[in-house]
Amino acid sequence: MKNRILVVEDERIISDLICMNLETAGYETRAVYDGSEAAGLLREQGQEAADLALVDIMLPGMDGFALMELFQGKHIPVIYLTAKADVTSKVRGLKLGAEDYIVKPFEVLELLVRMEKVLERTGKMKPELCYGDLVVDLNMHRVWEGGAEVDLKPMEFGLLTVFLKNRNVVLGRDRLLDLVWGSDFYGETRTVDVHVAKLRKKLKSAGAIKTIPKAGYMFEDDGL
Amino acid sequence: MKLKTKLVLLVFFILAFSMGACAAFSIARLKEYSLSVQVESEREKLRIAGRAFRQVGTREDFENMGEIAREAYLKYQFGRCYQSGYALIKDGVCIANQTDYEIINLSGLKGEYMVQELGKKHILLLRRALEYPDGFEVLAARDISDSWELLERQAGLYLTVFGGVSLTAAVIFALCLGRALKSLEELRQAAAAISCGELGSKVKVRGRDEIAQVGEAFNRMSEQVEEQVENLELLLGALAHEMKTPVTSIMGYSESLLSVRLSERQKKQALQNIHSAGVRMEQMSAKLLALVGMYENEAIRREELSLRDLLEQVREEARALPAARDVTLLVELPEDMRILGDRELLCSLFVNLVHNGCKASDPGREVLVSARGRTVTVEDKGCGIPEKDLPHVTEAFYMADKSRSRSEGGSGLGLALGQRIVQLHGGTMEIESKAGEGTRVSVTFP
Repeated sequence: MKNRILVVEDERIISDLICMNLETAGYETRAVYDGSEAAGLLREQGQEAADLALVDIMLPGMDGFALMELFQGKHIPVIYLTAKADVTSKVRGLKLGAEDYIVKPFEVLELLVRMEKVLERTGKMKPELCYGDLVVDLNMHRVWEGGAEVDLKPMEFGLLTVFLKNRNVVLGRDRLLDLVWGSDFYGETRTVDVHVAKLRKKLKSAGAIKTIPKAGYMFEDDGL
Repeated sequence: MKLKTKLVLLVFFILAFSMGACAAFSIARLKEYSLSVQVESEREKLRIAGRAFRQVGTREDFENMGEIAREAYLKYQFGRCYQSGYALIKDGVCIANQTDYEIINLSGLKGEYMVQELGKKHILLLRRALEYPDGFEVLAARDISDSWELLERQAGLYLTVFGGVSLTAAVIFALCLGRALKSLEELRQAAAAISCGELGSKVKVRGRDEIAQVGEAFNRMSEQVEEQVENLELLLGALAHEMKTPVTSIMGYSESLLSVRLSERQKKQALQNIHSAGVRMEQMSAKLLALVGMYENEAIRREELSLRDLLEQVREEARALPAARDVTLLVELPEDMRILGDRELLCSLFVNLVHNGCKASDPGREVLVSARGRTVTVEDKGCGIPEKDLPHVTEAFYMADKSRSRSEGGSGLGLALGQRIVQLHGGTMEIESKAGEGTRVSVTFP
C-alpha cells in the first residue's frame, strides 16, 4: 500500500513536478489546482482523501490558510509549500496547525524527507514497505524475503527503509549517513559502502540498490 | 572656515572699519574746532596787548628814533605791556623772550599758527605782526597740553565705545545668523539621513524666506524619492515573486533529471517544462525592459497616423487569438482621424487590450473595438473585473484572477505596459468593468 498525497497547487507546472517526483519515489498522488476544488474533495471523501496534503498558500478560490480548518477536521496533516517566504506567513501557517512549511524553490529530496517525517510523526506512515517478495515491518523492525525472515542489524534495517522510502532517487553517501546514522555521527562515508555490501549479501532484493558513480546509491524500482 | 564664522568676521570688520572712520572724522573735526577756539582766544589776547602797546608811541615817534634806541625802547615797552608767554621777534630773530621756551628757529612756522610737540607737551605757536614799526612781530607760545589730552581721552573713549558697539553688533548678528543657519543645518542632517537610507526624511519649514523655500523643495524631493523607491521596491518584490514559479520549475525539474530515475516520457516532459519556464522568464524580462527601460527617455516616434489604418493593423495582428477561442472580433472603423504617435507601440497596446478581452470572454461572445471622437474603446462581455481589483489592474504583476491569467500565458504586465504607452502619448486610459458583465477600456488621445 502506498501513502496517498494530495497536492493543492495552482501552478500546473509545479504541481506536475511534485507529482512526478512523488510517484517516482513511491507515493500515490492526487493533484487539485484550486482551493475550492480541494475543499469539495475533502467534504466528499473526508479522511479518505489523502494521508498528507501539500498545500500552496496563494490559491484561487480558497487560500491555503482557509483550507487548514477543513484538513484539520479530517485529520489530514498539511505541509505548506509556497513562495511566501516572509516570517509572518510562516508563523501564521505553523500556528494554524501545519506540520511543516517549505519555501519555493525547494529541493526534491528535502521535500521527500520532510514528508516522511510528517507521516511518521502523525502515524500515517504505512507500517509495511514492500518490494517484490520483500516485506519490511516498520513497527516490529522485521524483514521477510520470500516468506522467510531475514536477520538485519539496526543500521542495516535503517538503511534499507531509507532506500525503500526514497525509491528511484539518487542518495549521496553523506545524505545516507545523515538519514540513517544521524547528523551527529562523524563516520566515514565508507561506512555506508560497508552496510550496502552487507545488505546486498543478505537480501536478493538488495540487488536493486545500484551504485551511481560519483553520486551515491539509488534503489531502482521499475514497478512504480 | 565655516560660513557662520566667515559672515560674522566680515560684518565685524565692516562695522569696525566704518565706525573707526566715523570716529576718526569726528575726532579730527573736534581737534580742529578746539584749536580754532584756542587760536581765536590767543588772537584776542594779542589784540588787546597790541592795543596797549600802541599807546607807548606813534609811528612817527619810532621813525624818528635811532635803530638801537628804538630796539631797546621796544624791548622795554614789550616787557611792560606783554606778560609771560610772549616773545618779540625782529626779522625772524627773537630779541625779547618771555616764554618758558627757548626760541631757536622760526622758519618752521609758515602760516599764522602751528602746534609744536615738545616731549609730552603740545605748544600752540601764534604770531602777529606789530602795526608799526615794520619788521617786528609778537610770537605767542601757549601750552595747550590739557585740551590736547582731553581730545586724546575723547578719542580713546570713542574707540572703546565704537569697538564695543561693533562687537555687540557682531554678536547679535551671530545669534540671528545662527537661527537662520539652523535651517541649513537641519537640511544637511536630513540629506545625510536620506543618503544613509532613511528615505522620506523631512525638515521643518519656518517662515517664507529662501531657506524655507529650499526646505519645501527638499521635502517635496524627499517625498518623491521615497515614493519612487517604494514603487521600485514593490515592482522588484513582485518581480522576485513572479520569478519564483519558473525558477522553482527549472530547479526542480533539472534536479529530478539529475538525481531521480525518470522514465523517458517523464524526462521529455521535464525538459519541456524547463524550456517553458525559461520562455516565461524571457517574456517577463522583455516586457519589464519595455516597461522600465526602453521608453524612459520618452524617445517614442511621433508620426502622424491614421486611426483607421491603425485599427486595421490591430485587427490583422490580433486575429489569431479570437479565432482560436471562438470569439468574434468586431472593429468599427471610424471616420478618418489623425493622431500623433508611435505605430508599433499603439498597435501593441490595442492588440493587448483585444487579447485581454478575448481571454475574459466565453466562446461565442464578441469583442468590440470602436472609435468615437478621439477615444478608442475596446469592449467585451466577459467575466469582468471584481470591484476591489479594479484600481490595481494597471500595477505591474497585479492579476485579478491569478491562476486563470497564468494558464492563459499572462505575465501581469500587459495593462501596466499599456498604461505607460498611453501616458507617453499624453493620453488617458479609463477602465470600467462590472464582475460578470464585461469590461470596457477607453483610450483617449489628446
